[in-house]
Amino acid sequence: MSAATAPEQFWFDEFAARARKLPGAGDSALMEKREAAMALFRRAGLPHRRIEAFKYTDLRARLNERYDTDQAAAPAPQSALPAWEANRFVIIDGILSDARSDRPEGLEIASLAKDSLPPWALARLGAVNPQADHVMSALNLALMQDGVAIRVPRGFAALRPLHLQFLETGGEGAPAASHARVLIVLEEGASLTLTETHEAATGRRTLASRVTELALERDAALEHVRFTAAHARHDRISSLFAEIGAGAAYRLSQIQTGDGLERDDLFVRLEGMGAQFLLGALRLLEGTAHADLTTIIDHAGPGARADQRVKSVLAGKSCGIYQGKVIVREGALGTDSHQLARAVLLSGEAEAMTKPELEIFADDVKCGHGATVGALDPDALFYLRARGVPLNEANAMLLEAFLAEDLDGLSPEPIREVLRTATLKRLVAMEPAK
Amino acid sequence: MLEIENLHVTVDGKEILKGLSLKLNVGEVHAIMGPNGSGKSTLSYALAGRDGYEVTQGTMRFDGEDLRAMAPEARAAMGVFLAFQYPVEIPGVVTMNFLRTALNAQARARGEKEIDAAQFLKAARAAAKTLNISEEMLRRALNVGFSGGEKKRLEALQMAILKPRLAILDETDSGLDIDALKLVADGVNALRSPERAMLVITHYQRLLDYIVPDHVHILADGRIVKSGGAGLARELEAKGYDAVIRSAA
Repeated sequence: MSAATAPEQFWFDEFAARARKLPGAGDSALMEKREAAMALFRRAGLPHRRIEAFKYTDLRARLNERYDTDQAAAPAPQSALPAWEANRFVIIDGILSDARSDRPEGLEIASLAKDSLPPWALARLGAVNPQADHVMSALNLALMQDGVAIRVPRGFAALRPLHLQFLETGGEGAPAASHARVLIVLEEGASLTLTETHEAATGRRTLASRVTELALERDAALEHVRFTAAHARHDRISSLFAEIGAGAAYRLSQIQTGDGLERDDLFVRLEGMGAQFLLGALRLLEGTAHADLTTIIDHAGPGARADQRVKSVLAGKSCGIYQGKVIVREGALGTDSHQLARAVLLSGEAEAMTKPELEIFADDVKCGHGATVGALDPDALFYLRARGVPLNEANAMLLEAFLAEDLDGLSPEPIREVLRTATLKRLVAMEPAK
Repeated sequence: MLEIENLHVTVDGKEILKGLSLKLNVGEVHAIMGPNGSGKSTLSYALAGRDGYEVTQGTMRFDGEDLRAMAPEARAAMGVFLAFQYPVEIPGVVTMNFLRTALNAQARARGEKEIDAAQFLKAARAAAKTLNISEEMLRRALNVGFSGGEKKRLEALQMAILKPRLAILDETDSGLDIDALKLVADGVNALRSPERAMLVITHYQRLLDYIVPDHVHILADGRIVKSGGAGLARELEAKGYDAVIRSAA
């Protein structure tokens, strides 16, 4: 790269100053991974708009603070969402809170801040569906402070959902950054429901660098629900890497609300016959929110199915981006891969960007993509208003209808009810179309 | 109750209504008949307050209040109801929920109490039964996948539930076979009342055999060119629009 910019130099210095104090400093295997990751970051620098995958989201320009990585003095934040029945892991400013977390039976759990990671975790760390030159996850690995590794043993069906609750402390103070990681291994035939919430208290500027690695062995099943409530001074940079074995199924339902910067990279590799990935993303953005979802679905083996559906409701000056790339490798016969992006613009200043990309190296595949962008149907709005429904209520009704099938599809039920309520509350609060 | 004077309405820059005047007293049923393009639907949309129907001249008053200054939902809350020629399909909005939302929104706007769920359900079911609307239909998304007849029956049901003071029926007969027409007309006739006025807009006289009006007006080129009693509709049916309009000119 050319000369490092000030934000990049900050991270070089940060690593130099902290490397010896980071968890696992005594573990040479882990330190090697951190060094290699930092070397990649030094080589490539922060992603910027001239890099195709980041053309809409220039992180070099946006992540421009000198971040403090020390914990805030403000009191530990609480979730605004009602609790549901689950085994809970609470991660505050990137650090797993032992006091507030459960120890579920039947699962193997390791804190990533512990000095000695179990071999199954160390082997997979940074190695699940790895992407060459993925800078932000490299920076995360280099500076990783904590997180959790979970192993669901062969054939084990975890009945109670597992809940990862990410909370960011607000209050006054210097901008703060944290780097945390989650690794989940579902062994052959294992199944799990994973819920994840990300809430940031208002106040100081915060950067949450998050990486999730999911390894689903043959016939495993993962139901993953993720909810984020961002605010204008919170930046969430998240990368998810998944490997899905033959016969395994992964469903991710992601609901994003708020007005922060959110970049989600999603790398999913479908390895063989019957592997399945379903994505349902809902984004309710307002203010100057900027949510960028960039996916690469890699059909590495034959007979796998992927279905991505991204719906956005965009108010204010918000921007919703979806870049979806599908790769069908040679020999991946019978691949079935679809993507659909639908956006409703509630203001003339909101923007929706959709970019599908297909790389197909096999015959006999079904790949499709579609996108729609528009305002709410004026005929429907008039019909509702002519019956006496006020404009803002009519807007909310139509938006709810737009999202209904996705909200109804959330599972399990207690989570569906909490997230439906939280989502509808946001919808009613969103400014009506002028 | 409704007083329209010298109404000029422009749609997409084109003048459609060119000085229409009309007066409806409470308890009366008026029919407006006219050939295609005469401005029938424009009148109904202008009264209901649809965007894009710009009143450039003249007045529309309901109970002495200027309708032009009111949003569609405010007109509805005052008791103006438009039965649509083409009811809109709204996927994801359950018919029953829509009906209750509309009823309660109107009640709130008038400063009245909202109806409770059980009471509403009972009233809605009873009204639905007389219009041969099944409960299954009420649980479906609004108008989605409904036949033409079902949509028109649902408009009549909304009218029965919302109890408007002025009902505007825009080509309610279009797309209906004779049995469906009778059913809808019976529903409408049941709502005739000394407290309510109706404006029945239609191309054909057929509907007026079932909903017999007190007054008939002929609309041509954006103006009312002739008014009369129920007999005028039959005259039209016998002679055709051209002859009647020419003799009126």
